[in-house]
Amino acid sequence: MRKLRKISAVLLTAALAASSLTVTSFAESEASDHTAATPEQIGEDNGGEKVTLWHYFEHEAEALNKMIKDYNESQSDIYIVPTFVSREELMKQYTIGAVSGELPDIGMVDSPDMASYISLGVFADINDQLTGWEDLDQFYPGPLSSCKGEDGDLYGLPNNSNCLAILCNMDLLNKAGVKPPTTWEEFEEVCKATTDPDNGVYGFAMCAIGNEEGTFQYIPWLYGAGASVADVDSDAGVKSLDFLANLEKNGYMSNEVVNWGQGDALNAFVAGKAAMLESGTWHIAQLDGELKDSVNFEYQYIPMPSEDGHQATVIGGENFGVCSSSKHVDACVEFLKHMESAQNNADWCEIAGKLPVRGDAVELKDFWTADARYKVFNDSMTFAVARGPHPQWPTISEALWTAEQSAILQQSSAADAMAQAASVIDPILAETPLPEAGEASTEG
Amino acid sequence: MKKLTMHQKKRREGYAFILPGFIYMVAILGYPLVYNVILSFRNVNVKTFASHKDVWVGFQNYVDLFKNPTFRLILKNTFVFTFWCLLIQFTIGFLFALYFSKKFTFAGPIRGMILVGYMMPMSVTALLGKNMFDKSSGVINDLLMKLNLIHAPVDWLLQPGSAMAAVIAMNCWVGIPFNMLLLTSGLTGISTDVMESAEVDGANSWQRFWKITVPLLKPAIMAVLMLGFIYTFKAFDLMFIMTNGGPLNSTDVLGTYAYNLSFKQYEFSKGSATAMVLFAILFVIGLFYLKLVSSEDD
Repeated sequence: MRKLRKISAVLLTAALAASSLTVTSFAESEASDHTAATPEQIGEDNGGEKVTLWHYFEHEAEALNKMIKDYNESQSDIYIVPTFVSREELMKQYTIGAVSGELPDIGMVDSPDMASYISLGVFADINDQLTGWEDLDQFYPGPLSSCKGEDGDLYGLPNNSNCLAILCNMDLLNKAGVKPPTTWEEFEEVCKATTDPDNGVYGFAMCAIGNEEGTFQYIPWLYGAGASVADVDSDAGVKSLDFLANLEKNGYMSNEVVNWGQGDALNAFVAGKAAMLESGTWHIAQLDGELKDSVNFEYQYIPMPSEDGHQATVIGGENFGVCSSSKHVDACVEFLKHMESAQNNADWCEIAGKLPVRGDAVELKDFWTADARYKVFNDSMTFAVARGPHPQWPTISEALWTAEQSAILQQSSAADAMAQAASVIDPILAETPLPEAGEASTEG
Repeated sequence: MKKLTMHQKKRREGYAFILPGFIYMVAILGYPLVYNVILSFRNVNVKTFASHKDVWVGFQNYVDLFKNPTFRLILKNTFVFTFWCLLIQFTIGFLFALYFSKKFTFAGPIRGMILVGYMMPMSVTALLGKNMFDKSSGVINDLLMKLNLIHAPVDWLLQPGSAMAAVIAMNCWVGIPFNMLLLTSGLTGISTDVMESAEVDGANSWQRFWKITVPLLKPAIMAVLMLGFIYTFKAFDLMFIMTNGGPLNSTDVLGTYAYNLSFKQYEFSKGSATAMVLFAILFVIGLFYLKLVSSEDD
């Protein structure tokens, strides 16, 4: 018996050691997730107070560092040090930081998540500092509303916008003898005509993964049917889900979409496995960049198809806020105002392949109107809807993608799936309704 | 100062020896545990956290959880997962232990190789599982198609039942060597004299297994089942990476659900309550195990 206890003890120790090893390896991978910029990238220390900025820009990081370098060299109040933190890790750090207070001075956040972090006290109220800033009128209401707390105060500034449109593989469409669709009916016909099971080609690919990305891609269909988050179990709401579920049922769309992120769906499209893709503004930069050699077909962007006179897409984008634990709130707000000035916003969004958040920035360049691809997105902003803002958006979002997955995987009918979603969403909205501004579309 | 007797001195020394361990336990385990218990009786969430409007709600979080069909599904998933993992990994692990206790060429090296699965970090195993069970590019569908066992790719990670089967399979890959290792050690403890005398007395191999091996191995069997239950029941990283609890919560277990509530939905108190349910179940099992070990000692 003693021997057995020894063995158990050894095994337990081993298991502990193994789990701590895993933790170490995670910690190491996290360490590589935190990459601080070097003085060569952001300029030598200007003697100002050191201010940390966390972001999850990857291929845009170089442009961000350049802008920060210019700012660091232009003044000596603060010295900004940007650090790359992966998106998942950054979100976890904000939640932990809400308790521990260990937060950066300036933080980047995906726009639908901002309301939750404001509510958790992660971001500082900077309404006073921004009051009287004449540029504020130039910002589009949609992106700006995502920076507001429940009190209506501003807790940050939007940095960039994007939305969704349909990307068509014109080689496949032409081969099938169909034109890019403008309505849901035509959309289904194009799906039918281009689906080719023998060659593993689906008519349509999207992302319906079980996280915010899945909800993001579903919103254009929900609002496009004439429904909204506030009435998901209405006839129109059920119709939107039925439409997507039938695409899967008829074999026009793979059921693997429930495990695909937006990047996975883009890869399937580029590999020629789908004739159409629900695609985001930022995909253009990828199609011109790392995917350039893989795209060996003609493609064309078209706006989301309409149904019964309704047409919708969804606003995405990132905001920057000053964290509540920062000792340099005023100086950080000055930097945000500099960063989101018309010229800087225009320059930045051109490099990053995104849409500006203010009207006067769009007018500075013809980038968003001369390139037919960007023009589709820029024009689509007129019927784009914002997600929330709502502090419990993550719970609302989970109810939406759960319903979407349930219907696409044929686990329940669209009506049952939406009734289930409504049972989660309706009580939340009864307590804290969505702001009117959240419904308002912006002009692009 | 009064002179201490030898006995008192020894006693004080004893306390001094356990003091570092005690402080460590209180700081590292005690504090978070107590904090978690308190959190589970309040209503700390995204709306009450920063404004400190959270109040004592007693067992309300627990009541809400058990009323929630998703939580009940997840509780069921956790038990289903644990049951099948224990059954499969114990049976195969035991068979392996018996097989490799025979002396044959390469018995040692092969046994060593089987242990690789146990040594791999769970996150790596989970990533392997995610790729292997992928519908269109996974090696499992590819193999089954080539062997003509299936004619269309199986939706492994896309249907609730098969996704659960897939995570159970990956967990058993780790669990089988673990069971084999413990049971092998138990087997080497059985004296060959007993076996030989039983053989002389005319017991056949079936009788020797049931009348000698199993009773003598009972402590090892109980230990492996208890430890296996604890390890399996608190699974987290496997599902978190391989399926993220999906599709439709079908592979969500108490560990992943607690994380989801606390870190994705900011329902900190409900997350704590879920973790407490997990803890309570394991605590009961742990007590049972301790009782078993001490009664065996007597």
